[in-house]
Amino acid sequence: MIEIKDLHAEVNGNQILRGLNLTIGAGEVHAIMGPNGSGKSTLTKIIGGHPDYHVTRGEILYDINLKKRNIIDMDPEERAREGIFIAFQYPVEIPGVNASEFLRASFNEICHHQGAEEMDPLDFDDFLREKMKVLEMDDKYIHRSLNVDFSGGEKKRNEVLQMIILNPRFSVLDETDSGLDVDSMRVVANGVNRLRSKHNAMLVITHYQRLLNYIVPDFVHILEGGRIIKSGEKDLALAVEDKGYDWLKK
Amino acid sequence: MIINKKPFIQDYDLYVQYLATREKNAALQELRRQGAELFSRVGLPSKSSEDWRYTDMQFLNDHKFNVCMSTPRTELENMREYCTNRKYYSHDDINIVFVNGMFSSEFSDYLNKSISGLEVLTLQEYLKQEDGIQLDILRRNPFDHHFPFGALNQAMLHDGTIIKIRKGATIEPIIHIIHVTTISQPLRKNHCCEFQLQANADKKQNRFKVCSCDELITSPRTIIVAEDHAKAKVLESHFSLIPDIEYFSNAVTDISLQPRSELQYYKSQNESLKAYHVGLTRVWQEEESNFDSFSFMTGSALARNNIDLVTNGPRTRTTLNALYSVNGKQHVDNHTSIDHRHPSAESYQFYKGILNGSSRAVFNGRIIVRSEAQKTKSYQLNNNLVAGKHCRVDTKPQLEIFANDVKCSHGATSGQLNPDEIFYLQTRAIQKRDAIKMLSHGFADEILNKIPLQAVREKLRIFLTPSLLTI
Repeated sequence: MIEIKDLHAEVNGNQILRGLNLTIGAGEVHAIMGPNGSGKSTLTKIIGGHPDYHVTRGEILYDINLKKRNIIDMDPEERAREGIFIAFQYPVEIPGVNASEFLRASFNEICHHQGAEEMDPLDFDDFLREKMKVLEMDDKYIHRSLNVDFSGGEKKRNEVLQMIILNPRFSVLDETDSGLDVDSMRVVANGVNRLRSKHNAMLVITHYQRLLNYIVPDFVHILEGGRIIKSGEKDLALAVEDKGYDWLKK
Repeated sequence: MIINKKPFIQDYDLYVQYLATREKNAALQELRRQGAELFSRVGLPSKSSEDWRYTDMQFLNDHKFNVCMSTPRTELENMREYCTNRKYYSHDDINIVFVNGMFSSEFSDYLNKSISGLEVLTLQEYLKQEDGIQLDILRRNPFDHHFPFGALNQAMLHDGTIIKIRKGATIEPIIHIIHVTTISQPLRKNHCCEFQLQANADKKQNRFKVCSCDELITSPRTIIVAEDHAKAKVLESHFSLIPDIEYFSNAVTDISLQPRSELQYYKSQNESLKAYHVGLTRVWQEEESNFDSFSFMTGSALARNNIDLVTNGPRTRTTLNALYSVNGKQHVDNHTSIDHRHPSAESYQFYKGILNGSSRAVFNGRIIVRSEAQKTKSYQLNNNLVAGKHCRVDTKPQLEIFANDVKCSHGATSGQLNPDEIFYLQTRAIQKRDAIKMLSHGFADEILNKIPLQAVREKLRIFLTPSLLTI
């Protein structure tokens, strides 16, 4: 599905990623853990195509129409249309932009690109309400401005709601667990798990192991100093929880 | 009588003589004389005056504005088409229409809708009433040298709207006062209205076979009185049917709110992009009255909008919200002044602006809290979205607080769209261009959504969308 090769990236002249390699196949869930400043968020921004983050070496190959294509020169919206989704750690608040209208515009952009029929407002409303039930979200969400006055937990639910609606092939969940209490985490993880299939893949970026009890990964990678220093299965996450990161740095 | 040393109004003296032959009311003639006298003494403001520091009006001296006393038939046909087909004009409203500064009974429908508790009169109708002879309602609040355009409006006075909402009445439909300016290109140079024909004859200038309706001046005048416990919604619109005509609209609106009355007042200024609009809204608020206003501005090459509000009783509530969206070389200047003279008043001001191209915006918000006005709460905010590379915003709060137990705050921002917001929308498959459009609409909607009436919001959006398109 996606193959990251020797990725080097910088922001504001600071080299953050230094030769990151990662291959994720269809149907797989990978987790990346790492201490603060290891490059986790930079990797998210690079995959999303943030204009302030620059790839200085390496490539990101992504399957589009059965061909591997380097996406680093693609605009963020093009990547999204090809099924890449980022659930942000800090979703932005946008006053005046209605949450459900925005999501319908987004959904229809993707439909349009993929040659599917766009959905009219009434059908979309039903579709949206059904998905909101999965995440136990309040109906009033539909009428609110995007993320404005949402609690930390509501913002994260909203990210996962968007993910479920847009049904991406490859998703990055950046610290989706931060700001969630245990009950909310279960609900959100349940939403994410329903999306798992042999056709799509996910990259779960997290600081703590606890999210991985709910979204169980096939592989766990430790990111440190801008490259992956260790890979393993889910036990590796437990080891990190137990012993911290320092033992891995040696 | 001299209106100005430079003749920026064509044939002013003849105009006054002409009006005097039409209506004999001595009080009205005296008002015109006083207005002209004050205006000729003060003249057009220049940058040397603090109130006009960012908006120099001297350029008007280079113009020669004409008065039009009748509108060509073809223009009225255009207006008819507009009234039939555009959402902006609705038969659900009570419509009072002026075309080129002249009252139009043809497009006004208030007479057909007799609504209990609502009295609508044109100035000409008012003159026929008992208290109209002395023009009390017009003489009550004279203009001063701070705002010479008020005096100019009075000097040019010949028509206007007087609205009274009677004691305890609640008027459900929107009272829509429409000021349309429309003279299409071929007619501008050779339309002859009745007054101009006479003016030419008087000057014995027979060599002028035609006269001109190019560069019209209109002087809309509106008076709104809400009596005790009365409630109403007024929309005052200024627009042109033709996007590129040059004219000068000099509007004055006086609003008097008696105890416990409530008025929603919307002013929508979408003049031609070559027009000049100067507007003065004066408000007097008595005890426990509520003035909820919204100013919406997308038009004019240069627009100046003043709101001067005075509280005349305790526990008043005032909201002055606004949205301006300008592009190209447009210049929009908003001056507000709220004079809190009595205790326990609340006032809220939220002005938002979107600037494109090389446009300019000025905001000056004056808040006065007098020593008697304890427990006043007054908040002011001016946010500008600067989308163009060569735009300029001058924003200035002006707080003069003489009471010690008050809560007042002010703030101003001007900045560009947040790149993280654009990126966020892009990661949701929305094109950068559309993301920018969506965000600027969002910026506008944040303030537009504070308008409680959906019908008004929808009307304003008609003018907003084209003004944002080029972002």
